[in-house]
Amino acid sequence: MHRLCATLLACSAGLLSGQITGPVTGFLYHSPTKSIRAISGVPGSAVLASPLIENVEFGSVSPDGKWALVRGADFTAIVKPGTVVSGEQRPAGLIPEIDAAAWSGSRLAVVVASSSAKVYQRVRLSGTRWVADAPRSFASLPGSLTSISADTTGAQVALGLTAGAQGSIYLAVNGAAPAFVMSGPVAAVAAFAPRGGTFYAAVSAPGVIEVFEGAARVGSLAFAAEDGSAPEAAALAVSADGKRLYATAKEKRALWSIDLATSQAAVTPLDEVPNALLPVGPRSWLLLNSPAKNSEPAVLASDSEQPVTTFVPALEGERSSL
Amino acid sequence: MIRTIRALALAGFAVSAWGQQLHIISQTGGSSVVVPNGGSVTIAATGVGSAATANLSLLNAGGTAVTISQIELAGSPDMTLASAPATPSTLAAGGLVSVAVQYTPASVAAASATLSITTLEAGAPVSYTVNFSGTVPGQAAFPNFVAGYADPVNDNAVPVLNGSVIAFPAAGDIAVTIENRGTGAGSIRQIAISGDAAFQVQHLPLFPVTIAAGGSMQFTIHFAPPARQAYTATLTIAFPDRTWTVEVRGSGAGAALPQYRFEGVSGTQAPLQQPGVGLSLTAAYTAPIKGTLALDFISDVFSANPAVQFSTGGRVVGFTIPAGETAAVFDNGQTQVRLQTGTVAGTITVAAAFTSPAGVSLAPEGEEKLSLPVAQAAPQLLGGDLSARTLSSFTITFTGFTTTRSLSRLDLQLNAKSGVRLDNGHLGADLRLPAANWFQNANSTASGGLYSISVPINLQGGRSNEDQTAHIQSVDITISNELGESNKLTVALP
Repeated sequence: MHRLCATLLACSAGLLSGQITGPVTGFLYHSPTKSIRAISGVPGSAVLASPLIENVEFGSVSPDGKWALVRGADFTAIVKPGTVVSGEQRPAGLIPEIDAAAWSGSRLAVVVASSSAKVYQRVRLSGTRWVADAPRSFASLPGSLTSISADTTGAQVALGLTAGAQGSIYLAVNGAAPAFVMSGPVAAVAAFAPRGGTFYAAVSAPGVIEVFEGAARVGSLAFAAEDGSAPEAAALAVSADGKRLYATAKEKRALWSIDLATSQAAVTPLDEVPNALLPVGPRSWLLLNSPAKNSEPAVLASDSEQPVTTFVPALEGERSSL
Repeated sequence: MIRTIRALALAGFAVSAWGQQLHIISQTGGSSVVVPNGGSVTIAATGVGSAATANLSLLNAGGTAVTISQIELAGSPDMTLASAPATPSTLAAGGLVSVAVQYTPASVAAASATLSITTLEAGAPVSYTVNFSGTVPGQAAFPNFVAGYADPVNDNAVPVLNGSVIAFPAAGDIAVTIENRGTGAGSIRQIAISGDAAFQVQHLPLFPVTIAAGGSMQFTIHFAPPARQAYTATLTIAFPDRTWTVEVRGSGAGAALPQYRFEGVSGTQAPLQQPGVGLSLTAAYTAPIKGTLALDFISDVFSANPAVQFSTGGRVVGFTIPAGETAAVFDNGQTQVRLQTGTVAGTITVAAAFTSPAGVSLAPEGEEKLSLPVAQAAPQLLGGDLSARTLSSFTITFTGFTTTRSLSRLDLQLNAKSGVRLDNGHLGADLRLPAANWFQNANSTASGGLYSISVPINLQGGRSNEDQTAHIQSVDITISNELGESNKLTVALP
C-alpha cells in the first residue's frame, strides 16, 4: 500500500489572496480600438476589458491566450498579452506588413503572411524566444490570399487564393514552395485539424468541403442552408478535440457544425452574419463576431456538439460613440 | 390648431423626416424641384404621337439604405414607365436612381397616371405616389384634383388619395386642401364623413362647388374624442365622375399611448444568463413610435455589475413601432434584444420611453417597469482543471461565481487511486479574508461575482524521485459563502 499525505501549499490568508482573481476567457484583437483586449469573465457574464496592448494595426492572439502577435506603426512583436511591447521582441528576420496569421495546432508556431507582398513565414517558439524561419513567396500564384492555415507544428501550410470567382488551394510542406492542390468556382478557405495532417478546404463547389491528408483528397463533406441551397463557405475551423468541423457562409446567419465521424451537419441559427471563426481561449470557444465598432459586442459560440452563442459587450465606460 | 400644406419646392435637400427617407426630384428644364409625396407632375407633349418624358430622380436623403421594393405606373395607356430601377433594389444613403415616365398622346383626350413607389425604410414599408397629367395642344381643358394635409406630428405633407388613411395622433383639427392642378375648372359634388361622431367635417362650402384651374379649397376635419379609445370614420369626396373614400382614424385622450407590456424574460433571473426581452403595445397606435429601453441595476451587495448590458452594447437600446403595429423592432432589427444578467445579486430594471417621430415624448397609459431580481445564493462552481504539476505537487485552478461577492470556505477532497492510502485526503481553508481582499479590490468590479482560484497542493510520501501526483485520481471541490455550499466540482488528474 502506497501512503501519501497531502497539504495545502497556500493555506494562509495572505497567500490565497493572490490566488483569487477574475476569470479570463481569452483575448482578442479589437479593431475599433486597435488593441488587444481580454474577455473578462466567463461567457454568459463577460465583458471586453480595457485594452492591454494599444496602437495595434493588426493583431492575432494564440487560441490558448498565451501569445499575441501585434503589428503597429513602428513595431511588430510576439508578446504575452498585457506586456509592454518593445523592439527587442521582434523576431529576427520577421517579414514586414503582416496582415494574416494562423496559429499551429500546438500553439507553438504561427504562420504569418503579408497579402500585399505575397510572402508567408513560419515563426516558432524556441525555448522562450520566437524564431522566424526563412520567408516564402507566393507571388507567382494567381489571386489574393483568402485563407491561411497551419497544421500542428506549422510545418504544413494551406494557402487559399482567390482570383475573381476562382479559388485555389495550395499546400506548402516543410518550407518547400506551395504546391497546387485543387481549384474551383468559389473563394478558397481551408482549416487544418489541430493534430495530424488532415485539412479541410471549401473550394470545389458551394456547400462542399473537401478532406485532404497532405495533398491527397480523401473525402468530402456537405452542408446546406435550411432552405436546401448550397452556401458558399466563408470560413472553416476544426474543434479543439478534432471531432467537428465548423463552417460559416457568406451572407448566412448560421454556424454549421459537421460531425467528422458521421459527416452529419447541424446548423445553429445566429442573429447576425458572422464575420469571424476563430478559436478563443483554452476552454473551447469560437469567436463569431469580431466587433467592427466600439459599441458592438463580440459574439462567441461554444465549441461543443450543440454550440451555444453568447455576446460579450465592451466594459461600460470603455465604449465611445463610434 | 389648423395646418395647411406647405409648398415643397426646395432649393436644397435636407434629410427628410423620419419615415419619409426618399426624396422625389423632378428634373425639368435644367432645374430640380422636389415633388412632395402625392404631388403632381405635368408632361407637355408637342402634338399627338409625339413623345414627351418626365425625368425623376429618387434620392435617399436618410442615413441608412432604403430598399425599393416596387415601382408601378397605373392610369392612361398613353403613359408608360420608360425607365426604372429593377426591384427589389437597395439604394444606399445619399444614393440616386432615375425614373422616367413617357407620355405619347394617341389623341387630345385627357391623360393621367399615378406612379407608386414602395420602399422599406428601417424595416417598415413606406409608400410614395406621384400623379402625372399629360397635356397636348388642342386638348380640351380638364381638371386634376390633388388633396393633402400636413401631418400634425411632424408637419410632413401627406397626400389624401382614394383608399388612403388620415391618422390623428391626438384630438385636434386637420385641414385638408384640395387643389385643381388641371387645365380646366372642375367641380366637387359633396364632402361628408360617416362613422364615429368624434369626427366632424367643418368649414365646408355649399355644394356643388366649382374650382378653377389652379384654384383650391380647404376644409377641416375636427376630432374630439369623448373617451380614451380608438375611433374611425369614413371621409368621402365626391366628384362628378368618381368618389374618393378615405379612412379617418384617431385615439382618445391626447397623445396617450395604449398600454404596453414586456415580452420574453420576466421574474427572478439566474445569474450568467442572456435572456431576450421584447415590448409590445396592447393595441396599435395611429402613428409610428420611436423609443428606448434602458437598463438599470440596483445592487444588493454594494457593487456595480458592468456585465449587465444589452446585446447591442450598453444599457440603452432603441426601437421603433410602425404605425398600426404593436411589436417593437429593436436596433438589431429583431423583436427581441438579449440582455446579460451578470453574476451579482440585485435587481435589474428595464424601463421604456416613447417618443413621436418628431421627438415629442409620449406618455403611455400606466408606466410599467420590468423588474428582474438576481438572488443572493450559495456560490456556484463552473469548471476547473489541473494548471500545474510537479512530482510532488499540483495546482488546481477553478472558476465560479458568488452573487453575494463573498466566500467563506474552501473544501477539497482528494481521491486516491486504488492501492493508495491517503492520510489526510480532506483539505480545507478559510476564504473570508482572501475573498474580501479580492472582492473589495477595484480590479474585481469588472468580474462581478466571478472568481478564479488556484490552489497548490503538496504531496508527501514515497521516494523523492517518484511522481506522487500519479497516485491521485481526482479532486472534489466545494466552496461556501454565508448562504450555503456550492455544487461539487470534480477535477480529474490525467
